[in-house]
Amino acid sequence: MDGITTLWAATGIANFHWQQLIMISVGFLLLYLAISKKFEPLLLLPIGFGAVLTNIPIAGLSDPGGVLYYVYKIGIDTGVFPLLIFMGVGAMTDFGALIANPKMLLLGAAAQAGIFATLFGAILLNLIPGFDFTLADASAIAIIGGADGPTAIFLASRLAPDLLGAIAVAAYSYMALVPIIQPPIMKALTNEKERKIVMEQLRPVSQKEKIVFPLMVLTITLLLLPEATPLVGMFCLGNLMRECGVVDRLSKTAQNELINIVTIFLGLAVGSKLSAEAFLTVETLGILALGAVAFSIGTASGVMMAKLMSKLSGGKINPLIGAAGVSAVPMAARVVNKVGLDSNPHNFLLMHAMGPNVAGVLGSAVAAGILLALVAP
Amino acid sequence: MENNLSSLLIEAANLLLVGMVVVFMFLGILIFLIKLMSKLVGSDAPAPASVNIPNRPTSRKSNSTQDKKVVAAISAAVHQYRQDNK
Repeated sequence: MDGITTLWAATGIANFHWQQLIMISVGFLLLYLAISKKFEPLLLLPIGFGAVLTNIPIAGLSDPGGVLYYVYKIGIDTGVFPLLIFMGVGAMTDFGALIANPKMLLLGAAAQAGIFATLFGAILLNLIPGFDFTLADASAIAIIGGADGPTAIFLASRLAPDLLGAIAVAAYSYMALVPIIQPPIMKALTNEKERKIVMEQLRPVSQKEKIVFPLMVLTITLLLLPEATPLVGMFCLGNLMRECGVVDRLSKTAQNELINIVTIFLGLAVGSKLSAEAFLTVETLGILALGAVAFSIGTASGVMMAKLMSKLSGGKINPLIGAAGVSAVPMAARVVNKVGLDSNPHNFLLMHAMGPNVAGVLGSAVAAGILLALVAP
Repeated sequence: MENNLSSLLIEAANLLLVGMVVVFMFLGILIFLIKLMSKLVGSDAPAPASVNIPNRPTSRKSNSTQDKKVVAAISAAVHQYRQDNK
């Protein structure tokens, strides 16, 4: 009889707390969104599964000694995983559209207003009882507005590791929701005539320019903003491998095998941070709300900047492309293309939107560097 | 607490200002550098050359076929003329 009691005491059923049950269902919800709705499945699937695993009672997968504990410690605590992902993204990014039309960098800069405005909003939330965000917490939350998963995870692991789970989930969920969040904002801020503007075709960009570009970006980053060099440096390494043409094998590995392997572990590690005690707080709700605000402000300021540039250039720039300034490559650019096609079925804005889109990646890495430099945890 | 919050708010506003200025400056410098770089290495680049190389042989080919047609037309005319004047 004692044996049965002991065995019963060792089952999951006897040891569940209701919070763990809720978190396991959150994990299943993420799996459902990934599999049925195809919301960023490459990340939400491992994150969701990690969330289920980490909330299993007794097994203690995220306690010291558990497998998820080590995955987190090796990959995210050190900042290695997001940086490796960034190298892969660099190897997948073609800067041609940006080099052909460098003014697009201004749109990538304007869209970062979402980050810094949200920083302000996060501090304002402290007025509501139950919220107690420090400046470091607020910065880590605000970076969701950069719409760049690896950057958000990197910054959160530096500034606010406790909030990392919620921040990563918010960042990836909103990236998946780009096609739903952005179009109403884009349409509200532009008129039909502006949306119909057809842009000149971009000039071809030589291989030399594409090789020099990452080296140039790295050089000015190390001179002006060394705090951003982990992100920008890995990004430029990946991009140089892609463009130089002599290390195709390394470039292919960085953008396929390596990034896939890292993605599995990154997702699991983020999922391991979705434990009941860390996630089931009012702060999580605040983070989700702030993320949506950050995203919307970023989109709006990108579009407004593009409108200004359109006016100054005498109507040569379609203001819709400003929305692509929030990174979320290439989803934001596709959304711009689609909204443009709705107004003029012969107007393909995709290549023009790729410029601000990749500029947004650089912009959010720079913004992350600024936050790291100015906000010491 | 109130005092603490207002000082945090001032800091956040400060970050908002500094952050946006630095982001714009950084990317502004980058615009300038990209334009400079394109002037230095862009013009003599393989992109226009690769457009030219396939062009030359094709234009030559089209020239030579045109030439052949012209030659054929003239010789036909000459032939006709000689036949008529026999």
